[in-house]
Amino acid sequence: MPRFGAGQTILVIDDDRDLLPSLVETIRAFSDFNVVTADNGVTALERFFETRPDCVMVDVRMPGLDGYQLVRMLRGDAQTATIPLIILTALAKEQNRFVGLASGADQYLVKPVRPRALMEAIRNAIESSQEERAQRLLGLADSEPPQHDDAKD
Amino acid sequence: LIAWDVEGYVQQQTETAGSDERQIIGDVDRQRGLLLARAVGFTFGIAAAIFVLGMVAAGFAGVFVVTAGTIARFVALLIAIALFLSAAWLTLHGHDVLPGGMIIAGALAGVATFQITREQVHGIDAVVVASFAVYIIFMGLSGVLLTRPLLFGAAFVETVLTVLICFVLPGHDSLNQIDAVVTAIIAGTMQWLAAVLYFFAALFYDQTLAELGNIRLAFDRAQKLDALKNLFISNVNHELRNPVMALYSYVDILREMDEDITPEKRRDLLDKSLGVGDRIIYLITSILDTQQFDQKKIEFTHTGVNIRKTLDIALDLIDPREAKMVERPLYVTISDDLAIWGDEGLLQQILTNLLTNAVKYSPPGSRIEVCASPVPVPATAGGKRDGQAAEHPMVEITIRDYGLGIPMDQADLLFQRFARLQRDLESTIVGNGLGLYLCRAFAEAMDGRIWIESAGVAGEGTTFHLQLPAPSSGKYM
Repeated sequence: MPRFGAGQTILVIDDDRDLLPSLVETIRAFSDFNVVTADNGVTALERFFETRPDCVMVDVRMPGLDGYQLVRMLRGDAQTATIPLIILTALAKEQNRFVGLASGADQYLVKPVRPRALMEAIRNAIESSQEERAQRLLGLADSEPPQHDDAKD
Repeated sequence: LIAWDVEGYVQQQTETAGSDERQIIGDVDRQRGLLLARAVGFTFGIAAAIFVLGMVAAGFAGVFVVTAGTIARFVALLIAIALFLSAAWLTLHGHDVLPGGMIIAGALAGVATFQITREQVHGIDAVVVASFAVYIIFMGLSGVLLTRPLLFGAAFVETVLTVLICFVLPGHDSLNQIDAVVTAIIAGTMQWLAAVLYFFAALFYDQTLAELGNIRLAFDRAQKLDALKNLFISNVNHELRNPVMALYSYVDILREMDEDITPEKRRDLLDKSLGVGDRIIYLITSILDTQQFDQKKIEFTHTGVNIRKTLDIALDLIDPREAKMVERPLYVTISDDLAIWGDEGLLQQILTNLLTNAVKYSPPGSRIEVCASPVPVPATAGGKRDGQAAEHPMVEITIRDYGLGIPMDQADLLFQRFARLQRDLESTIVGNGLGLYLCRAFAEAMDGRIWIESAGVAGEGTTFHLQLPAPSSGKYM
């Protein structure tokens, strides 16, 4: 697995006292990210604006501000709209995934996720967000992809 | 569109569950209605058949010459009776509209035949015809519509008409003495029968209502428990997935980074893996304990258990992830030889749970007090009260913290399975809502009891009282 994330910061938010250190351990072991953590949504927002991370990984069920709300807030703000967002949660139902992705997350991961898959998801989230950002810069993001031809087939 | 907010989503699911409940209650209601329709329809079908037989007897009373016409009328009456009996059979098998029609048709056929017979003997009597027709049609309708006023109305109208026709109303010379007596006997018997049938129908109805009430109560209770269970399962799901993922992480790091890890780091990762494994086991044990209690399978031995020693074990077993005991002043006031009569394992689990709670729900550094002493027996110490066996001497253990306290109106709730205070659900304090439930189950299994005392004021804390039987010179109680 090629290493990535050098010079970048990732904010990891989870209220589980066993999981959070293991996430930090994993990300440090398999990438070069600078890891910042928070154990609830409100602290997460503070950390976010302190550190301006390049990627955010967030749990859903947390006291106070939950993961969906946090994702929506970050997506809703023009300044943070293109940040790569990953939801990592124990909520395994398809409806939860739907709500999570609809909130604006790039990836929806259901615990348990093994480190390789986790790192792959972080990489994908960052790359897809970069593409989106590039498209937006080119003014392409708002144009509809040509789907009509497919529909006719 | 998309369900943006999760609460809305949850509410939507709750409403779905609500409509399930309504459907079940609706089904029960329909079932009850059907049962009643069958019972009342059946009994009145039979009653109508007997009534028409009575009319045959009345119609042919005194004058019975076998002619083709008589046989034809007799066959018509038999058809009417057949209609009634079929109606009774049909109602018994769950039909309701068709039997009603059959009862009415049978009644009209019966009345018509009866009247033709009477006409030949005595001439037309419109009032008598109307009387019987009204009564039978009322009965038919009552069997179908199941209304008590209709049943009462039918009985009342028929009573009045019978008395008027037979004994009071002038100008009804066509009714001779025999006819009057026979009609009165038949009508009176029918009313009496109807009253008895009605009585049993009402009894049945009330019984069914009571049963329905019980079903609803049970359903309500089951639904509440179900909601708690769902919450619990969702918590377990959450709490199991996290440590499993942490375990994966540590093991995968060890596996994939094999050559790059220092021995210290390796040891650290292995220790962390084991710690996470412990948490999984702790959670699973809690669930199994609950299940075991549900199946009433708490097995234990009765022995003298030293409280002080058990407390020391219990303190060692407090899960550091659940609550950190470090830097807590612990005041213990227990004489070294004080003991209870019960099971050491159960007592240890109760104490561990109560101490864990005390630490979890009070600020770091605040003191925790554990006391134990025999419960003073009232004036009649050692003796027996009148008509009552002497109470077994008890030992009381109290565990006091100076934490958040518990609102007393929620104190009882805490001993229920899966229960957690709203305040704690919103906080970061972890828990699965099983600890106190198990404490109570264990305490009661040992013939003891447990209760909470708290001012409900933060800082004043909570006192848990645990009373367990004291050992009584080796005698098994």
